[in-house]
Amino acid sequence: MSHKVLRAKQTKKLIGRTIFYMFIVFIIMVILLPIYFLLSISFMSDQEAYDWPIPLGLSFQGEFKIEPVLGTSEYLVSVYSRSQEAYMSLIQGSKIDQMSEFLRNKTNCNVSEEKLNEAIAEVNALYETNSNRINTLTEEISNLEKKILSLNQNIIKAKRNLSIVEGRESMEAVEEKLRADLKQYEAEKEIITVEIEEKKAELTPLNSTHFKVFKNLFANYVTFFKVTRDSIPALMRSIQVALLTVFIALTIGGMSGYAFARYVFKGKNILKLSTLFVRMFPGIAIAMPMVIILAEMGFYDKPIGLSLVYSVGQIALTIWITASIFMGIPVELEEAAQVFGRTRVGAFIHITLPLALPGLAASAMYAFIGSWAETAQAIVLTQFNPTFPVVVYQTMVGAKGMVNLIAAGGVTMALPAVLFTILIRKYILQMWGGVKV
Amino acid sequence: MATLKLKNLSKRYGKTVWGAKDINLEVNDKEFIVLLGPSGCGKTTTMRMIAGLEEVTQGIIYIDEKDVTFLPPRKRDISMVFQSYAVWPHLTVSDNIAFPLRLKNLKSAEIEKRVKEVSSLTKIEEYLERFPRQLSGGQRQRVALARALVVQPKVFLMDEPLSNLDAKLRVKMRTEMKAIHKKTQATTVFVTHDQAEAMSMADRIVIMKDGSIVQEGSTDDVYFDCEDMFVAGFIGTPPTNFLSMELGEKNGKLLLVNSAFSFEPIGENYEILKNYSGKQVIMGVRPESMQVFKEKKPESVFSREVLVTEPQGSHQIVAIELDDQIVKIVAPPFPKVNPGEIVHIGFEHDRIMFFNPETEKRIRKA
Ligand SMILES: Nc1ncnc2c1ncn2[C@@H]1O[C@H](COP(=O)(O)OP(=O)(O)O)[C@@H](O)[C@H]1O
Ligand SMILES: [Mg+2]
Repeated sequence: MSHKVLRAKQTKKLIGRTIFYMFIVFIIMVILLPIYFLLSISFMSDQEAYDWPIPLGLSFQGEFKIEPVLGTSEYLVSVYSRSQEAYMSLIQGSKIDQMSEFLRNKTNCNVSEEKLNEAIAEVNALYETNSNRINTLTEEISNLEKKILSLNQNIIKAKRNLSIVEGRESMEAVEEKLRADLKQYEAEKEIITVEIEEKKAELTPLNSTHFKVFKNLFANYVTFFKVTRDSIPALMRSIQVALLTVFIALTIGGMSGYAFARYVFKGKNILKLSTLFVRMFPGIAIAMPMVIILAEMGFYDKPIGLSLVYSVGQIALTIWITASIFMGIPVELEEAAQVFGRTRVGAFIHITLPLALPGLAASAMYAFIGSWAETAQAIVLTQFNPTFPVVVYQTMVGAKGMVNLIAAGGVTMALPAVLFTILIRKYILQMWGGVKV
Repeated sequence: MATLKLKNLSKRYGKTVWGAKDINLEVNDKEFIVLLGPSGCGKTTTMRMIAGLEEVTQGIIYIDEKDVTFLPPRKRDISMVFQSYAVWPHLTVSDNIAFPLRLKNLKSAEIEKRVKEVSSLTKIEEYLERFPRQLSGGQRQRVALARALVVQPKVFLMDEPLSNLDAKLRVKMRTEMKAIHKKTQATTVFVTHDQAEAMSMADRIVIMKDGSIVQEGSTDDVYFDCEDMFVAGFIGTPPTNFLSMELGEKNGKLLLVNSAFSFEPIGENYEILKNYSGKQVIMGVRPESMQVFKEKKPESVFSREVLVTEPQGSHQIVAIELDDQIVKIVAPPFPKVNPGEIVHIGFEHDRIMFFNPETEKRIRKA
């Protein structure tokens, strides 16, 4: 093969590879971006969450500016907004304790009273040393601002007159003059505006001081748990419900899955399909009649009652997953174990079960996720002992519009399921690679 | 080592399908027996009943004179090589082999020793720490073999263990397995649908059809002395030629007649056929029991034009047409016979087999 052809081939390969990786990265972005977005919002302060555009990167500290308000004993505190690339005024006041609390709530930064006092002392000292210059500058600025005011009046006047004379015959000369005036006023205004900017730029470092404070990233989470009623017991109950559901779904569903995979019996297909029908009914519709049944059984408002209801749907899914897993494991492996010394049950436990573990882990994960985050049925089926999703839901409804708080709730809800999945990741990943036999 | 005895063993699937029917068989100590038959004839069913993996519908299984019909597999003192090998994928080779020994609570030193022995016998010592997925089909097959050998069972069962190997390896493994059997002297039941495999390995071949045994005997027995037309047609490549003949009488002598030729049954054949005068019989003659001559000889019975020839190196197969039926003859490689040539054909009379056209059974001397 000639050099050229080889080169062309390599280039082609390189292009192909690049496109492939771009595609993969794209897919990952599509999957991960919303999650990242939720996460980063959950770490944002109120002030950040309502900035537009919402900054995508996480920030770990806030930059504040404090300046005295001339003519009063009050101070103005501003915070740097990354999306506006400018300082935004937050609060003006003289009461240090109130200001500190307000700033803490608004920015999630621990702006203590001492810090504020320190900054105020600094800015006062600055003021003392530069008072002459500050005074002249403020005076100049106010003069200039007065000029602008009168210019504005002139401009408005000229515009009004212009609209009267415009288009009239024999008034061309007047119109011409008015236009010239207007142009001049505007030019003057521009010059003065620039001048004011310059003066202000000179003034700012003279009469204001900056300070940085670290952000408390988990402030929203703390707040969330504070405002959510009964959050810890609800969390415990939810974990209990989810684990119970996993247990019930895996034992009953797994056994049925095994039966479906290994035995031939009448009506197998109809039975298999009917397990799917269960999942077609909306959970909430099943929950209603369940209230009565559970109440009669004494399981209403108890974790076991909820997990029983969840199991109905989860068992069906587990049957489907485990049946296909067990079907993928040849019967001969079990039979060989029986020939070489195991009982039937022993063969199942020592041969089939370890091979089926990835599939079982996957269905455990589904069952966990499915029962952990379920809200609608839980609202119906609990009263005094709500599960975590229910209290989160209540908080979300209560915290109308507090996006960052809601995001923190959402992340908290996802966390146990994520943890559970990480714990069994070894088997789940095996499942993805397929059962190798 | 031990004997195996099957008495009236039957298996019915559902209400009507008989997987195996009335199997009677005795396997002697140290014997290597092969169950041979076309696919679906009940070989696997029979073997699985012996192993205890299939419930018996009727009959009794004895191992060493002990009734094991209702014992679970692990209590039968057997071991088995599965067609799919059934090597456990989550265990290493050495764990696979040691599995049965560990369940017998042997000391670990003893286990190690026996694993070593058997892995050197089956030539898999190098792979002991590997997982089955890291092995080729042939190596996995050896692991399955080693695992079955290591328990030193009373009866050793193998269900088509070579059928998933490529042709060359299969032939090699035949020899190796035969050598292993010679060493271990294990009473063995070996299942195959490959007659060459059966003939080259068996001490005794058991031929099955539709769930029943049709003939059992040595390789020579089932080849030269077939019980019925099925066996004659099933064993041998090319298979036995079947010619429909009528027994006539001429001048007080018996005469076998068909549309193309006639000849007089001599020697044994006369004794066999003397009561069949005027009846139809089917003459079965193996391709190599026919002779092809370029010139007319006293032995030749009829002449025919050669349809095709298939040179095979060590011999040539000559095909002729007879009554709309292709008859194949295995002839020595020389002299070369060419299509279109007229050849003269004779029979080795003492190798001819006669069958009853209705029952398809062999006609023997009264
Ligand atoms: N589990 C089963 N259910 C119903 N029929 C079966 C079953 N297993 C085997 N058979 C039938 O029994 C007969 C013998 O099968 P098998 O012993 O597997 O044959 P072979 O091993 O000789 O190919 C076949 O006709 C087959 O269809
Ligand atoms: Mg079979």
